[in-house]
Amino acid sequence: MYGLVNRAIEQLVCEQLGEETWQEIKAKAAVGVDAFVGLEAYPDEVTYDLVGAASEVLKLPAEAILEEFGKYWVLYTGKTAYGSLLDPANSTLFSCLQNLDNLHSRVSLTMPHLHPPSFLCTDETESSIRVHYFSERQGLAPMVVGLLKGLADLYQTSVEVEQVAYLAKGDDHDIFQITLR
Amino acid sequence: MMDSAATLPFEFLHTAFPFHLVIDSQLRITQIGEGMAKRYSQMETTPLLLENFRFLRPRTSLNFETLSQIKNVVVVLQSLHDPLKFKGVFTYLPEQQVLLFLGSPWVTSMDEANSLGLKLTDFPIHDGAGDYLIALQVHQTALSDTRKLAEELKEQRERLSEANRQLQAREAQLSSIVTTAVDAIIVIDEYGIVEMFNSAAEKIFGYRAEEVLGQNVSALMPSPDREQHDGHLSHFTETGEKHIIGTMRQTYAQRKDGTLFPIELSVSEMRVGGRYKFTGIVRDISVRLRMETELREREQFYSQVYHHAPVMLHTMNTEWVLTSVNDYWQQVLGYNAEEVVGRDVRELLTPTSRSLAEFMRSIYIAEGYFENIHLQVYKKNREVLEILVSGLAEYNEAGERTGTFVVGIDVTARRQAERALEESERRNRQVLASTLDAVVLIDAEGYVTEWNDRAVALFGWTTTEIIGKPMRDYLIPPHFREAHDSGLKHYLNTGVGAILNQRIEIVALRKDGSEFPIEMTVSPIQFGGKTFFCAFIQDITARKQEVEIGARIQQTLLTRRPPTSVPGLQIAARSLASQRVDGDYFDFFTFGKSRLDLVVADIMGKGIPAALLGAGSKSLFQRVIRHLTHSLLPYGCLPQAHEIVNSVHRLLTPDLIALNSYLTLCYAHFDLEQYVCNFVDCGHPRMIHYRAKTGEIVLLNGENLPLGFTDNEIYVPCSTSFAPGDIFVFYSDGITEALCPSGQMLGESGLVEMLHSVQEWTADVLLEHVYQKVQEFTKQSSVMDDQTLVVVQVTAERVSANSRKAVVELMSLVDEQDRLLQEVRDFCLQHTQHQEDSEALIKVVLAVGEAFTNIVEHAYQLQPQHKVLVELELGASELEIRLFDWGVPFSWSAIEDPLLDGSHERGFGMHIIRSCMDSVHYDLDGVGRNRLILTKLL
Repeated sequence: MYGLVNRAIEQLVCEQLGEETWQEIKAKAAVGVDAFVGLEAYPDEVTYDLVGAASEVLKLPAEAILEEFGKYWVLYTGKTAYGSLLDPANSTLFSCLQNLDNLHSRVSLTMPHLHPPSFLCTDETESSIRVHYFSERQGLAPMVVGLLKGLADLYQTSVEVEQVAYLAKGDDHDIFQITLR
Repeated sequence: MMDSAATLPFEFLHTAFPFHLVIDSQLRITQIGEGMAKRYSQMETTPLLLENFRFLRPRTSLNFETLSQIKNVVVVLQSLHDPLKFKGVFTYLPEQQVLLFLGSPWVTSMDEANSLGLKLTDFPIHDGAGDYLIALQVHQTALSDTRKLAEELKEQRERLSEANRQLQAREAQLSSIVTTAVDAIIVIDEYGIVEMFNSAAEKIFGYRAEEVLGQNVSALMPSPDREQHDGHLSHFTETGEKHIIGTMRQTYAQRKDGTLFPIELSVSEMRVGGRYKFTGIVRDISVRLRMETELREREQFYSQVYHHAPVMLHTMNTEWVLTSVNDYWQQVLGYNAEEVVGRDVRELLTPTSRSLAEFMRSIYIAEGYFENIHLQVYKKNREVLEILVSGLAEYNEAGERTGTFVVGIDVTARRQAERALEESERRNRQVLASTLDAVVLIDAEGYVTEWNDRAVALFGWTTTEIIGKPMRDYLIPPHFREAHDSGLKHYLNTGVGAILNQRIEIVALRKDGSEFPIEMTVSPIQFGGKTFFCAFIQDITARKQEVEIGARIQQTLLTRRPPTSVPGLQIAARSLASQRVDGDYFDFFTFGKSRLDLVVADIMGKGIPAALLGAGSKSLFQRVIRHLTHSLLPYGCLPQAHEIVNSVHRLLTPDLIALNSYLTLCYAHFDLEQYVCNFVDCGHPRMIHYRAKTGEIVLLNGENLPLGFTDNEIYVPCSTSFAPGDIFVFYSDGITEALCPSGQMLGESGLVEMLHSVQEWTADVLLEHVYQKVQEFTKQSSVMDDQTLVVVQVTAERVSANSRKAVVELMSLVDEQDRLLQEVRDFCLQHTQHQEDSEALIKVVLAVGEAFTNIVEHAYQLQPQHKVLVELELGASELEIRLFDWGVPFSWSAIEDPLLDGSHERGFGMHIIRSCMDSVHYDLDGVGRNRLILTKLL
């Protein structure tokens, strides 16, 4: 996982819970890294360990932390670094979702070590859309939920996100049903 | 080259190349891609290429000819409609004779794209421009990332060098501390080898540093520490078990000259580079120990003298709070030191002695000592002890007084002998009185041994039933038994009984199981070497009920709302009833609009007798005032304050003497015409007069005895003048004798204090203020004694200006008429515009003359000894003349119209009066006088 992601976790914890909590989490995760470099690829375990340690220190389930992080990623880190790639002012949430896979594909071309997930959209109606999520990583579906909610916030759109298929439960892949409220 | 498998329809260009252009030989744009069309709708109307674009590259002169020949040359077009540039290539299509421009927007950052309204989705996916933008973005992010890291690095380096600076400063500081320390500081390694030996260590041990450095520290210790030290060290480094590390201990050390000296030693360990080092701080305490020992011995000596001396000794601070008491003191008074140290010594004194102590304190403050003062002190068991005390101030080095050393001698026995006779007489009386009590004798185990008839009647148990039975199970309600047991036990162990030798009110148990309130006095008796308790018991059920009835009487009969209708006075009054009803009361009497009388009284005693006496005397005042007013009416005057009090005294005092009671009171008469207060004080607390003009507060009292002392007393009035703004405060002793928790009384001075700077307040507010302050002082919500307070405030308004009003008193003689008419004339000339000879004045004089003649002739029927009162008053627009008499009432119906034929004179007077004046009114006034009111408009 690129350092960007780990650094976003760091920022989220520092901003909302303070530097000390972050140090505690980092110590617990036994991450031997002082500062994450954004475009450096780190082993995925680093990210998993951080989330696991945060879950322990904050006494929150990992899913909740992932979801919160997904939201944070979109609204703060993603937005400041790559926000200009999105364009909430001139398009809609659904068109953004439709374009999500393109964005990841293109970014992956620029960052050779990035193995970004795929997002494909189907069943679009006026008020709902299905997002299919494919990733080589395990267990990040909750982060996708946060991500989707964050995007909806960014587009000032009120939605309900419901996971309707679970890779973890034997389905082919994760599917999220997004319905406008 | 492969054969074309597919040919593209020309229209496909629209979507595949959203930014393409097709240009004909006239350099007109004939077709444009979707993206282009969306941005530049104007191309429809201005189709010439050069109307829409400028060539940035290549930099050649351009025509169709040239363009159709250049191949594979990067072309950059600048839109003339917006800042957007297009990068692409021209291709000549010979079949159609057109130029095809395939290109895409050229921007160098996503921000720029956004500002130009370009979105990533505007680029076809096959177009590398989109990816180029993303790559740019990623790199920009990476760059800012690097900048941030560099910034952080710089900050970290600065923090590090700052920390380094601080560390160096600390090190310098520490090393100066080590050198200048008074204590010896010795650092050794884990083998005991000395690595540091500061200058204080040199001084204390007598070695120079170079003699000790590199040597084993055990050389500084005496045996057996010296031999054991290496063992302690290796034990610690192997096991980590601490022997003396981290504690402070006293031990001995050895100087270079071999002498031993006591030290205080604390050792701490540190780890430097993986090895232990130990720091020992050594303080030479030989001097201190010697001083401590000497001090302790001296203290012990004095303490023994202090505690074992056979006189009472105590010390107290400058506030007279006890700081210590000796053994003998505790023994005599029955207190433990812990119970009294910290208390004000005056709390232990009887009320009389307390005031003596205050006096003695004033001497002490001036002189620094007091001698042979005779005081009465309460022992813990409430017995009173007579002691003779002398005290001497103690001073500190600065010469300030720190406290007092007091010697006391118990002289109770001597005083008791002096009073023996008096005592025995009193005791006999008590015994006599107590024959009405139930008497119960109990042995030390609590079994009943004596039981008199009265006890049988009270409790229901016969003598045979109760003798030999445990008193607690028969006479004490179950919920009090535990307290009784522990009290008895305590007394038998210590000789101190909380309830002994005093009247206490508790609840007792009858044979039928009912409970009832009793008053009981228990005294221990020594008899045949054994202790017995003798209890005198009275049923106080009736008394309890009485208190409730009394309180109701007080609330209903004894207080009255102050009148509000007296112009020029504001009055507020209240009486707070205590739990045990007293006989406080107050009352007000009004006489017209210019006189107010009030009485404030306090009956000695409590309960229903006091309340009834209060109600009785209060109604007596009303009766006497009514009676005196009527009997004085013929003389045109009203009863004086002392006349009223003396009358009440004559009627009431015989009864009071018979009832063995008395009452204090203050009767005050406020004259709002003369602005004089006449008052009769009968032993009542001094009334307070605040004088607005000077701001002073004066306490006023007479010298009369309370009512009920003696028949012979004649009550004498006092008087004081007052002015608008003045305030009078009347109160009962329940206010001034209110006690604060430490036992001090509020006193007159306390009350006066409360009245300072309150002159702007209304009477109501002032009253409220005083009650609140008293409550703050006593810190309790219930009232121990009735608290009565009456506030009379003289307001600025006057009933009438003296100069505008005149009163003439006349006898019922025809001769008096001239004098009256002269007064009327003078009054009018002085206060009105009328001239001596004006018609109006002549008419007024005529009418008054007729009216006076009528009174003399008809009302008094020419009897000469009666009185006629004439009031002249000038209002805003009229002159009013009022004539008063006490003669035969006038009957309007009896007045006939005058007959002008001269057959009789009747009715002429009235006729003249009517025609001379603007209005004539007759009635009987409130106190039974005939009143004729004549009005002349001005």
